Amino acid sequence: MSESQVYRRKVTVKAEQGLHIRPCTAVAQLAMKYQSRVKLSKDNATPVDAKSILDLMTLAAGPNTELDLEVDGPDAAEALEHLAALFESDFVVQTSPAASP
Amino acid sequence: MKLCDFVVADAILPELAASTKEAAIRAMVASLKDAGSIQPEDEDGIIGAILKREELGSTGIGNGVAVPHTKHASVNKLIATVALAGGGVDFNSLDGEPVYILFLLVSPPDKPGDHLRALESISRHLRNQNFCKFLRQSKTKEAVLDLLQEADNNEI
Repeated sequence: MSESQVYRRKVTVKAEQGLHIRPCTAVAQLAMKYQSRVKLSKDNATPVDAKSILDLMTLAAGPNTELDLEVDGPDAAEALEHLAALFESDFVVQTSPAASP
Repeated sequence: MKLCDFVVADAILPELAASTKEAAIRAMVASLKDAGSIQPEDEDGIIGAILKREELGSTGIGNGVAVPHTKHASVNKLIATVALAGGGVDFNSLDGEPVYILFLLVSPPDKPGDHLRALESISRHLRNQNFCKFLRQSKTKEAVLDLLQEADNNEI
């Protein structure tokens, strides 16, 4: 059994309109690709499950809000980097999605 | 922000029977028009804007819930309606399942903060399984409104 390390990083919501449904969907869909647990929190409040769009919507994170990203699991390092990159890119999905609606 | 601050009571549709996503959206926008919350001349523009937003990605976010929405200059404060579709509507949802609870929002373009706060309010309650269960059991406008008020008062 391998030990998994908890990875943390601060990410900033750059989107002009904040973390609305489209960015929430992008974050959740990316987070779901990883086995690791992925959590986001704002202002030291209880972290939410980043694989849940509804949970992410409860953050009501406006533009320039800093969030704490926490990833824990076997692929945590990769998950952290890709999720941080997603925030950095203003939620532009990096890889071409398979058949997005 | 409380649900009752922005959900238009008269526009609530407790028994939506729509065979398609577009029909569901049209019915909900028509309901807002009938309630006097949007002008008849803006109805088609709002429907078009909501459908266009859906093309960017379905707002059927999973777990039987959809949150179709748009910004539109014709409204000066955020308004919404709730529809319950007992038979389910195919919303091309992210989890492939039909939707049974729909919150449709129309917000002014210059108030993104209000939009986020409304989404926060909606999502906070929809995470509550009891809220969803009771909502889907509501058969009248009044029952839905009572439930929204109870949710706002943290009674669920």
